[in-house]
Amino acid sequence: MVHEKPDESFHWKKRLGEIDHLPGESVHDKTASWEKLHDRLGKKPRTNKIMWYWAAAACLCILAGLQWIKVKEKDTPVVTVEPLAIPQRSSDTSGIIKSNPDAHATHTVIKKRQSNSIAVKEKNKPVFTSIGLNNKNAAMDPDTVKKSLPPFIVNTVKPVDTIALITVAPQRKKLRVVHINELGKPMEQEIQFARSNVLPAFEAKVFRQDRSAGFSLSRNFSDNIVKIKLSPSN
Amino acid sequence: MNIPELIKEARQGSTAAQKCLFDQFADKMLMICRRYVKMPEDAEELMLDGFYKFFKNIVAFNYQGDAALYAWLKKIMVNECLMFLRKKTVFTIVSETLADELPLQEEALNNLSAAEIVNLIIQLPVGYRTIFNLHAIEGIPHAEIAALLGITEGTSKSQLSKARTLLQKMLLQNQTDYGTRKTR
Repeated sequence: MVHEKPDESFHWKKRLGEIDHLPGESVHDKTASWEKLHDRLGKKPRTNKIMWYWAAAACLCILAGLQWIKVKEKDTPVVTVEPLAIPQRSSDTSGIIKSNPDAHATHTVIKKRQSNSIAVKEKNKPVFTSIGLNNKNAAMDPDTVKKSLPPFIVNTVKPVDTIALITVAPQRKKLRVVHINELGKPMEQEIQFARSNVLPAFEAKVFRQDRSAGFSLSRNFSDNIVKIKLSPSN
Repeated sequence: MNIPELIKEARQGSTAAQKCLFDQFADKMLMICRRYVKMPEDAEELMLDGFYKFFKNIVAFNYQGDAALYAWLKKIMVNECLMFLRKKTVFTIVSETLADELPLQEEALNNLSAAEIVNLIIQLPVGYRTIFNLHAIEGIPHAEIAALLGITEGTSKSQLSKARTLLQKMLLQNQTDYGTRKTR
């Protein structure tokens, strides 16, 4: 049974190859089958089409991404600001006052601009750079800058109001540092006065002697007026 | 136009030659598919798949005679059927257990017509039918069948044995039916 010999039953197997259709079943419609096959042969394989669709979609995505990056780069505001010239103030405040608070504030604003590359509008005036100007230390006046620039630049370039775009933290108010000697005489005079032996004297009128302090005023006391001399220790 | 010329034309993409070849072999190939697959619609679809592959790869085919062409086509169809069955059938599961084994009498099959034999084969369970077709009709050894279907050689042998027993039973049943019909 298991060791069967196929050649022995050759005739019935041969007959199986000769049969074209089973009796009782409808004859196979070759024409319809051929039409189906012909349609399949005419078509290109689906997988190739799908591959091409995927490739095209990927290319579109890459192009869109590149375009978006370019647009983003263009929109990013990169403004380089050269340090502004600090307006020179009158020399009357120089001396005891260590630093001008306004100038200090201007410096801090400039530093912020340099570090963050942000243009900040100062006192509602457009920011002008010192390009093409001979005197860089001079204060920037918009009118003078406009005059110094060629006319086509003045006509084309307009100052941009960036204050609406950029929010800047409010600047800290720094209290004015005042030396204590500023209230009285100048420092040098005080020092000279202290060094000198000439001590200033002032008079104090004592109305009631019994209420005076415990020290003796007999020497300087005359007609209810006490003369007190200040010593350097005082 | 003879077959070598048709093959030559078909290689060059002639639709007429392809149709001639299809008309010549379609019925026989459909019957091969019917032996493996029970449903006629499935068999037709598999036959079309086989011819599609044949025409796509006809450039690689070296014509060495009509028998070689028939064998090549038959192999394509059998492979298509096995691929189809592998997707749907688990061959390791034995669907029916038979208590006693009856040896298949080949002479009894010789007395039957081809259509009757095919009808008997179609009635076999899918596992038995496939292995009976592959071993008893195509002559493929058990080791190769095991590799083709992803089963062990022992499973292939046992399935064949059970297929033969079932066929013998069916033959005996047919004889009885035939006898009773005759007496009536």
